[in-house]
Amino acid sequence: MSTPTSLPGFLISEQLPDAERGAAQPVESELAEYGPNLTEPSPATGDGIGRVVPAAKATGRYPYAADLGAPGMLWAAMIRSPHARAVIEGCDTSAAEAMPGVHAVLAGPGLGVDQVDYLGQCVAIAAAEHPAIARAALSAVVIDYRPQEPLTDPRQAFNAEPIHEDGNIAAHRFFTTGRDAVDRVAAAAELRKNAPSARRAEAFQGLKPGRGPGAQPDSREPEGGDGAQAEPEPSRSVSVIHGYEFARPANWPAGPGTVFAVPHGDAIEIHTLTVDPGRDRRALAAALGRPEGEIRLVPAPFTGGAIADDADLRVAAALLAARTGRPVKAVDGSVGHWPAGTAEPAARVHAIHVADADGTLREVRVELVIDGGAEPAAAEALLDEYCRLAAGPYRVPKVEVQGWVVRTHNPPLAPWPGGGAALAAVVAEAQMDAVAAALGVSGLEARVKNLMRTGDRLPDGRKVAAADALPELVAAVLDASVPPFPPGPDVREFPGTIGRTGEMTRLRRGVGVALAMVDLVPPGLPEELATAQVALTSDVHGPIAHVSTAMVDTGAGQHAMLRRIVREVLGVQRVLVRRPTAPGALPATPLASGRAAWLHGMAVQRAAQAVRAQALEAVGAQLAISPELLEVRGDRVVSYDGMLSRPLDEVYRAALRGAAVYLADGEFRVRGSGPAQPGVFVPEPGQAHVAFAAHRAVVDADTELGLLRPVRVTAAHDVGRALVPGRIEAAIAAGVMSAASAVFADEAPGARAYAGALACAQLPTALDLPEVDVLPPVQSSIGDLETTALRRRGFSAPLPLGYQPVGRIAHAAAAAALACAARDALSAHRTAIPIRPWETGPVL
Amino acid sequence: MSEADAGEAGAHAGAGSGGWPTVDFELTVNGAPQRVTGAWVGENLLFVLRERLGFTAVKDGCGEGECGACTVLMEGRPTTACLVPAVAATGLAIETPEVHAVPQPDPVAAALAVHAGAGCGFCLPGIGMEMRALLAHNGKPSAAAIRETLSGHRCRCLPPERFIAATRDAAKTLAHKQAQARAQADASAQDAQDAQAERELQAERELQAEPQPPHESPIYPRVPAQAGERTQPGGRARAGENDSEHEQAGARS
Repeated sequence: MSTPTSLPGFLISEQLPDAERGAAQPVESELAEYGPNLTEPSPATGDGIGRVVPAAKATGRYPYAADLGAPGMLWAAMIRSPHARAVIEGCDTSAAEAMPGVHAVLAGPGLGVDQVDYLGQCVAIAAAEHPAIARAALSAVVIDYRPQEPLTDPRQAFNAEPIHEDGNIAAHRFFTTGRDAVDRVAAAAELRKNAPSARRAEAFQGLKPGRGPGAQPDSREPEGGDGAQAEPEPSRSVSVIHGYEFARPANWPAGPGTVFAVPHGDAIEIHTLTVDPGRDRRALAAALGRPEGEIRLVPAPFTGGAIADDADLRVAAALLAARTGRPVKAVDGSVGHWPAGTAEPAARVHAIHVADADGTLREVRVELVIDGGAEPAAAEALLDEYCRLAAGPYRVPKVEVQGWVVRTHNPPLAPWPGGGAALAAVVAEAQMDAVAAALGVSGLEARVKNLMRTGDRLPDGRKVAAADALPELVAAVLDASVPPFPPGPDVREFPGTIGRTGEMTRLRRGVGVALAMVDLVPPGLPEELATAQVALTSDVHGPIAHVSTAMVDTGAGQHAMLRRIVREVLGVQRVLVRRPTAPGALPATPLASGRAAWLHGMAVQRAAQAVRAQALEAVGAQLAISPELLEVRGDRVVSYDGMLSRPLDEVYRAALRGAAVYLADGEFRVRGSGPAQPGVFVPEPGQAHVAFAAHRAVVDADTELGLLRPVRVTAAHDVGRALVPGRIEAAIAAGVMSAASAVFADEAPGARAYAGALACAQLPTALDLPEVDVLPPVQSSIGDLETTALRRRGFSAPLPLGYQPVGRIAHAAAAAALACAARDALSAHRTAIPIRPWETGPVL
Repeated sequence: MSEADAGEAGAHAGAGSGGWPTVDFELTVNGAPQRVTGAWVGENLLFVLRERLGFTAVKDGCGEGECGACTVLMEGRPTTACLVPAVAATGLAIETPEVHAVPQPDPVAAALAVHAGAGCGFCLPGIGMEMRALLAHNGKPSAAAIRETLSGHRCRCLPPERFIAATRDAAKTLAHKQAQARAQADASAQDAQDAQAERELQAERELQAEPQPPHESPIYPRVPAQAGERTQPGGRARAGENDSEHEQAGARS
């Protein structure tokens, strides 16, 4: 039998002698990388990315979904509702359908849309031979709206008539410590039952954000929520109350969403941006009313910043492709500007911090309302994450957190960059600065005095498993060098940048230090699962490994990480990553951001370990040792105790003789709670695995013109275990940049009227983005499934694979630090994000 | 889409029938003439380059001239193709990223691949064109100058430091190549140039297996321009020279 030079499918199962065919069935798959030289595996360079793909990207030959085409292709366009709430009583598409070049028009009831629930909801789609014709056709569609009164102020949601059968409150969380458990449950039940009273809604509105310092020494704290016990306060304590507002995030992806759908008989192949093809295929199948097997979702290469294409766009492309029987390219371009119309903050948070005169925090109370828009289910995770991290990485004896997600007629909330961790960090760090100001100490002193320690509790009562890295992170960030002041001499480095308005006399510098934390496994988490398959075989060039995974590479090096894991476990340099083509192969649940890399990495590691055990069976027999106890170290196969070894290439030559193939599946599960089992990670009951980071930001302000310019962010992270160091630095830098956009994005007033219009967003440019100084990361964990063995060796609570989320926490810490630095530069406690320096009152 | 497809689409009531105003025109892209027939008069240069002529290295990022992904060089100047009506580009020399990809990536593309290859890559072609124009008249740009040049581009994945490093890298390589080229010219002037061009052409033809019109890179002059010498289309005659555009246009044969 001749040795194949490359494997056409994944495996040729006829090559496996019957006796060796194991339980694993090869998964139908294709190579996951695009571009020239597909069969050449990426070499093991420092950042793990290789040469081929970056060269293709730099020369413009990397095929994004927008670059795909097919003979007979049609263009699709969408129009969106100008009303926030309306009934569609009828529509007339005859004029549109009569236009030459138009192949299909679906509108209103024909599209399954009878009721408009938010401004910008897609109400009509059309396919035509030219994008301009498609747009013209849609403007000829007549839709009969009967507008209704919309609910757009989330604060009114509590008292307003229910706009949905499930009511206006989509989610509620209440956590409190420092009180008896029985009282806690009873209070929560009562609160839930009564849902905020009119008095509460007024109280909520009564706290105006941003007026004055809000610090009242020698006063009692004002009446808080229902059931608050007003204890007499010792004298000379300080309480600080502020209301914070966060504008609705917009993701501004690098390219407009493009979905390319090709019908193949009954089936439809759809090229689209997705991080979770399985989940998105299920959703698309449900929306189209077709069986999943008829839909093939091909993850398209990422175009920076976008997490996934608009679900409406996918459905539009698929529907039109099915209807017309022709390939359809749907572009959610800027040409489809629609009025977004809501200046409503997406989140309002009220926080009360109480501290003793000596600076010890005594109590933290937080209340927040998140506007989930017309589809608030996705915002529940945001609320949950916020509430569990609401007090920040500080020890506080008494914490009370309560939050709601409400339903309104605003557009559904886009995925929040940095998640609840970012919201919590911005508020908590702002409050710490305010407490410090009220006490007359520095922000750093206030933080260090109250720094969390291992075993301290989060607001939901869980103990933090490992907080030892915190002091080290704070020290590292403070020791790092400061950018020179004043900046320049180039005037473009002053605030005002390209406008060249910078002037020394108006320049003020602010510095902010912020700590952030991210919870890895929330207790309520139902099971999350990832699977992978690894095959080890050889071709003319030597051993080669194939990894089949559902994990999509968004350009952040996810596949590089998986290749690194396989290289380490198997000692094989050439690794190809593949993605499954059959629906249902490699089952995986939807994975939250922050856990995806961990679960997929663990699944691949376990599959690779199983393959290694198979391949080393013969060697194990020779050495009289079980193959599970053998590892690959460098160029040798070594037993766990290092006593016995063999050269690796000799072992593989023998094991891979005759085009032998070793194939194994791997899976890894995570649950928030429940009994521990092999292959399942469950945190110890009452324990929280939390990652920490400390950032220091430097921001310059032009005090007269009201311009802010972030200069530098210094980042210190505990990354657990760095598998691909280049990836960590890139993830941190990306988090800092998205944080700078969130904190300093500067929308012209009134320009919020249009969503999707880049010109209105005035995002920071290259001159407005801070330098990112990533300090050598702390690696507190080496990680393996055998946690007991590691504990014995003194590592505290390591996670399997030594994983800690990095990108998310970078955004959270950077956003908090940049906001603190901006406040320092302006000498004003701004409470609205993004920070608008010229405003002196609350945002209207 | 090749010319043939474009014509076909026009004939199939894409734009021609039904009263849509259509237009035929010719563009000069990467030194070669490209004929466009039956295009809707309202199409922008980006659409024509990508969809009618197949130059998909030019990316559509926003459609409103804000993101810089569609940057091409028109007469050597970085221009957002999404804001240029296609018919208005007739008679102007247009340069797209494709010309710098064959026979192998030029120094700017190579530097971007090394320093900025870790992101999604969508911004790279546009930033590459901008950097080529910058380096053509500023061989050693400062960090602030590079950032100002970049401020018309949006990269969501990577911090500006990566692009500063890439630009500096490319600047070094280009300076080295220019020095080499001058030395070579001193040795055997035009003969060496022609032989080199012929070799590159041959290699490129072999690679592509498809007849390609001859092109020359307009940005990197290989020899100092002599007085009255024909300048190359689409660019300045020499880095650092203040030749007016009239002179260049007049000198073009």
